[in-house]
Amino acid sequence: MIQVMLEVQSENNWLPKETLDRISERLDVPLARILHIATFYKAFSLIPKGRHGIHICVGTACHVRGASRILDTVQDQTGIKPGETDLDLKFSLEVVNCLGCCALGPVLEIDGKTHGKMTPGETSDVLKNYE
Amino acid sequence: MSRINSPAELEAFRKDILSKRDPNKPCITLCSGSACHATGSGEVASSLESELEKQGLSDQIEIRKTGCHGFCERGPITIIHPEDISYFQIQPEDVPEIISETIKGKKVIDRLLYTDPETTENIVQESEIPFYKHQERLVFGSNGSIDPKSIDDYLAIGGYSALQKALYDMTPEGVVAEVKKSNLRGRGGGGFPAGRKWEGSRNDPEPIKYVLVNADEGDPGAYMDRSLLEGNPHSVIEGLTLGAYAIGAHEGYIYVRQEYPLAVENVLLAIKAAEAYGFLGKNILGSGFDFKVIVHQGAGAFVCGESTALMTALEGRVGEPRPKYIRSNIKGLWEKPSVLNNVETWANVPLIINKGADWFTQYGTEGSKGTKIFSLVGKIVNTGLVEVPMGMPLRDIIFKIGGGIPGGKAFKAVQTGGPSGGCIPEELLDLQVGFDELTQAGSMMGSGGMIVMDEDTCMVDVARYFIAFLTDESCGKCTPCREGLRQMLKILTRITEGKGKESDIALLKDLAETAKEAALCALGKSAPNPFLSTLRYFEDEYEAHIKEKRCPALSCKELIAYYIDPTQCKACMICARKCPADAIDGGKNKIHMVDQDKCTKCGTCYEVCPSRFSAVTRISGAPIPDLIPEEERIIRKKKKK
Repeated sequence: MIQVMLEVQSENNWLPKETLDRISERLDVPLARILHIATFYKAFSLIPKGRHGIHICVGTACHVRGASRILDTVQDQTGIKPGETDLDLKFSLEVVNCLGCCALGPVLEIDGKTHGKMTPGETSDVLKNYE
Repeated sequence: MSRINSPAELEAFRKDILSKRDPNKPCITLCSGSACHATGSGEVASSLESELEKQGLSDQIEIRKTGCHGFCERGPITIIHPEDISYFQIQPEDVPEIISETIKGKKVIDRLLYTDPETTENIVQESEIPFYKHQERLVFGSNGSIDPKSIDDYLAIGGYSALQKALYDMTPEGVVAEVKKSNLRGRGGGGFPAGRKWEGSRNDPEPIKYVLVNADEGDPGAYMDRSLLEGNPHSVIEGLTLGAYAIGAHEGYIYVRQEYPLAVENVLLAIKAAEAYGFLGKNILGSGFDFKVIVHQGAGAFVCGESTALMTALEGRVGEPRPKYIRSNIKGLWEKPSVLNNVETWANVPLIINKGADWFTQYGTEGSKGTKIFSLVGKIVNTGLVEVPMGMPLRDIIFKIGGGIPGGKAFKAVQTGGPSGGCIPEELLDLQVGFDELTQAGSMMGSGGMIVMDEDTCMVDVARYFIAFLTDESCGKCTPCREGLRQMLKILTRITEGKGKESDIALLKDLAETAKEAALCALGKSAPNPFLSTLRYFEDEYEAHIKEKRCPALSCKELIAYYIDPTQCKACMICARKCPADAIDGGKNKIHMVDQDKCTKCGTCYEVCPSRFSAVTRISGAPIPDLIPEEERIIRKKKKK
């Protein structure tokens, strides 16, 4: 069932209520259990996501290289906190624990494109490129 | 390709592959691991392909996209065979030159070579570079020479010969005995002897058994399992199949993080290829042994790296751990005997079966045999994956292989074992790495993350960081972990904000002891380690935060202020222009000043201030000097006579 939900998530970027109802019906699993899983695992989202997904690595290697400063800058610029999406659905902000590119830390990833060795100044410049 | 049904057929097939390969044919290998991909190895690959085509060399020169070489700091990495010339940090613009100069002209391009920072000599061969010279790459070595998407590449380096040996020349008990004799200990965290785990499952009368791969590598800063799965998936599958044969399992699962798309892709491809060749499925190599492997993608939960939580997640439920009154090798997945080992452990198994336990035990120390892959990250010159024999002193790993600390800063501590591990200070740097040695020092081996910290890293903040991570990842099932960690986080945050009380340390110790004694699983039991080990070695930093409201590492935002020294400032305007908060007042020929109310303490000014001025400083635990009056801020340049 987790595999089914992962597929829906990657297709839609979030899990709409109707889809969960349908999974519950087709797989004959109570909705409560599906919601338990949907809220437990980080990969699932019950709200729609913005056009651009920002992932900021706050893994240990990026942390010691100053990831929290990058996070602060992004929060100031977009006005959203990790886990949130802005009102016009432009950005969704998530923090992740390791993107596995520790050599490039601190790392910022937007829509799958990795921006390595970031500074707060460069972060603002990068964000300006997205509409 | 048809199935291979006997050892003779396998050998004939292997010979056939080798005979078609000309060792003298030029071949360009390009690292395509995730880190190199992020630095642009994808673009380099397409540029190589189009350039070769343009010059009409496509069929004379082979391009092989390999797995991770480990030296991620210098990616993308290219090696030109047969001369073994290694080039680092290749960009698409370099490709035409490489082909015309090196491939056609057989000349080495100096500017793309690795330069030894000490001798300033250029080094041509990868194996001569200090980063590699001190390593012992038993498990990880093939990563850089084979294409993970090609099973023929794996067969060409002797792949699946261990499986053939086990199925035809050894009994399942013999395989267990060999692994037991090798004293292979689990590479995922606990360090439990794999042979004993296997034996328990082997001896259980229950007919249905499982073998599982733990590839839910959630430790921040550790990525060796991902690199192995991405770069050499067949070695893990072969190890898993050997384990299945040894304990009598016919079904295996690979639990891999969904955040590792390339690893998932390569493993799925490898399973398909192995099934087509008859290394998986029914009647493997004609021996009558059946085994199939299923890949399960995790949905993002750190606790699922814990053995019982991983099994509940595999069962399609929420990944919460369960009490281990009965070990999971007796009652594990669906209450059946299940052997769970991590990626690196499984990848060791084919080597042990092929070369024997005696060969394996020559590496390592008394208690810890073989090699271990560490991911060396943080404040270190050569970031990357390193494989060293157990027993190597930490100092050698960090300074000989890692090249020390960048920017001439002083080493402060190295954090091992992921969030549940601990920090090891400079005075213990001669400690030999091994399971028991690290545990004694208050840390642990864990999965092999090694995060180097320099003088700018605040140890209280590090403890706060790990407790925050674990609070977030706690599944919430047992109270000491769910509530205890939350309170510890509150107190530690308070300390880093300069609001700590003198009684806080005793309170933190109390909470830590409770979680250590009473938490249900390894996550909770080891969660206080980062706090306890930093307190053990860096108590003075805690005291400075609490009593003097001072952060000795000048890193805790609430306790520091940025200040521009008026005697040093040359009014170059760099910091004023770069400041994202417009908190710097100043102009041409006018000494700059930080408006403390506007300052967000992002540190940009500190970084951009030219080192010949070094006017921006950080102050902690002392008042900020008064601003100088307006009229004194004008800098008058002396007129040239």
